[in-house]
Amino acid sequence: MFKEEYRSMNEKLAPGAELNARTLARMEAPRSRRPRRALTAVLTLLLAACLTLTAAAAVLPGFRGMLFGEASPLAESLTPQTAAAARNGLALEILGTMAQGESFTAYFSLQDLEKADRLSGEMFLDMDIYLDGKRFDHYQGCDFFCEVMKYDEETQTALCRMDLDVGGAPAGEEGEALYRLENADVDLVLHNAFQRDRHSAYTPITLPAPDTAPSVLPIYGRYQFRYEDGEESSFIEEITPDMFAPTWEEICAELEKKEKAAQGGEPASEEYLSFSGILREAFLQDEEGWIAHLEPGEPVPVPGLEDFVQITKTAYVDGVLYVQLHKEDQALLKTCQGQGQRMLADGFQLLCAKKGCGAADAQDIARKKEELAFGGSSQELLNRLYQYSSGVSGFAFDEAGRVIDGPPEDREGYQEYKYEIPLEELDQYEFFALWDYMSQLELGLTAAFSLEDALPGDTVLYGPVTVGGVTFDQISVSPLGVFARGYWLWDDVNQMEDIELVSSGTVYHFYKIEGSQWSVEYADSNGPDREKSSAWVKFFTSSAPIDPTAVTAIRYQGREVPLAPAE
Amino acid sequence: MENADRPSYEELIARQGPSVYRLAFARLRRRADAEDVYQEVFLRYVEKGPVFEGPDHERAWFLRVTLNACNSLWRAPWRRLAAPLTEELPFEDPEELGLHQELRKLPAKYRTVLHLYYWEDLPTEAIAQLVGCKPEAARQRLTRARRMMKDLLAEEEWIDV
Repeated sequence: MFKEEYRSMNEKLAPGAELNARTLARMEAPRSRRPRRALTAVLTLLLAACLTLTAAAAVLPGFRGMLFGEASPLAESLTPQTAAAARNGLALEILGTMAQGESFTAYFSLQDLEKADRLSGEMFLDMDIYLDGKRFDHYQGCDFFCEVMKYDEETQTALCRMDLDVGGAPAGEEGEALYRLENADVDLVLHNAFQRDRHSAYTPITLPAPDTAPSVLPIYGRYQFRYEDGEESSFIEEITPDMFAPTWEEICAELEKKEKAAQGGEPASEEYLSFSGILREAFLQDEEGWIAHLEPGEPVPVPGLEDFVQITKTAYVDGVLYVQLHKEDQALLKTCQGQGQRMLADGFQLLCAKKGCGAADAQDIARKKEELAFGGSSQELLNRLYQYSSGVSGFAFDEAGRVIDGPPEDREGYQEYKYEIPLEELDQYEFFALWDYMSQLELGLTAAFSLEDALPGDTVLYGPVTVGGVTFDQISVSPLGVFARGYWLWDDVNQMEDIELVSSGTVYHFYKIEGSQWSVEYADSNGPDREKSSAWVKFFTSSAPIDPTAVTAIRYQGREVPLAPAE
Repeated sequence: MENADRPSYEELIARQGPSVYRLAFARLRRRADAEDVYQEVFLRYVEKGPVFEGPDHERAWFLRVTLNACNSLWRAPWRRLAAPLTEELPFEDPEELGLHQELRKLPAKYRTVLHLYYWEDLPTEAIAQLVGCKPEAARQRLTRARRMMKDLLAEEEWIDV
């Protein structure tokens, strides 16, 4: 029996004493929080220091003073900007920018000139960046990050920082870079500000008359399998619709064929062979019945929610009521219910109640969701949500028009709610949507500026070098400080408190800033001696400015070795 | 920081460690990866310092964070490129080793629900909460996982449904 075998196998699995000791040692050692990006992290640290410098504000007003005042560590790295825009008593002002390689950072302020408490330190911004007129699409593998750094209650002004990195963008049709930062003309567009609140709303729904003989669609599942080498194989699920394999047996046969080919000696150990397959409905047959999805009909809008959801089918299949909805992509959520509210895709539910009880039930469920801070669940809540429902499932169509099974939680697709309510009793029930939203403030502000004068990243790369028993793969010296990176054991990382660099005959002491170390993902981690250690980056700063181009040596753990620029 | 109201790290490792390790192994099927996730989960505990309302909350937190850490590991490009390690596994029984090899062939999300159901004895509603899907989806996932295992092992009546 599977259960016994599985449990027996698991009983033999346990963390070893050595692993526990290692884990305990790491838990007890001070550990730094790993930030999202190196540059972002450094700027955060420096700005945190900067914001405490009240003397700077005396030189220049407000946040601009904090960034560019005499005592600001950012002043030398940021290019001042003056672009601004105002609308409906809200003012956007670009304060400073910095371009470094494929990264670009902008500091800007957003102020409520009417002091109507429309902004806060908790809000987040819905915004776009255009580089030379081309919209920066951060869904294309690029990094994009924007946050409110500080909010001044008195002036009702938020200091915001936006970081983007174009490095992950795919190449254009002719292999050219999709985005260009050098001397780029930038448009920063603020669409909306959202507060981090959450509320539930109730919308009654009138179902169209049910179809008693609907068309049912065939179902497919999509999987990609990767075969790793001649001895080990593993299956990694990924969605790619480019090939078709009709049955599970054919997929296994294909794998076997590829395995035999691999054992012929060709593929290297890390080479992957992959293919994808479409599994027909026979494979997806539910043990308790076929998974049925209905041919969508003409969309019927739900008043008030028409931009987000439409009813595409109401029908009976094997005595079960199906209500099929079409949902928009979460990334393309539209404003609904007029201004001031933005629906959250993960908060939408179609619910059923006894006739005349819908509003009261909705209120009760909303209260329970609020008690759970919209984040958790409880048996009581589940019982209320699924009181009359016998399940919900979802599907979408792939590029070839095939039906792909799976609940489209946060993307465009169809959801089907099922209710075991006989047709003759349907008039004893009512249906309603319970949906969550957050508060929205429309901004509609655009400021244009150029990176033509942005300071270049005068960073010089040194290394690799081994000093004091530690190998630094790369040492990056810039006006912001020093990034050191390498494959280091945990103990080495912890002990690395400071380094010294010799530049133009002078020794500069660089010390670690709290919270400025993080592990990194190296693409070349296949070396035989590197598997057991982790790649790290640490940032060090100095109280004295250093000329990044004139570094000649590094001192660490009492040893000094010459340092040459990286090739 | 530890204090009087919170369990010591040793207590926590003793209490939650086996569960964390087994779930990580169930999902990743590689000891080295499971050990990485194991450490990561307890370090996240140190970082986040969660206060638990009771044993169930504590258990659910560790299971959830284990799944998150597994996902993070799988998303890391350098991890995907790393060559598979030849590992020593504690399975002496050929049937257990065979089961381990067959489980490797299952997509991770199915291995996860199988483990939560057959080892952690969780109902599908709780599994749904942990893996972040609706109860119906968790139930379907479990059904498919059983069917796939049945196909893989080519035996008719070995699953006690």
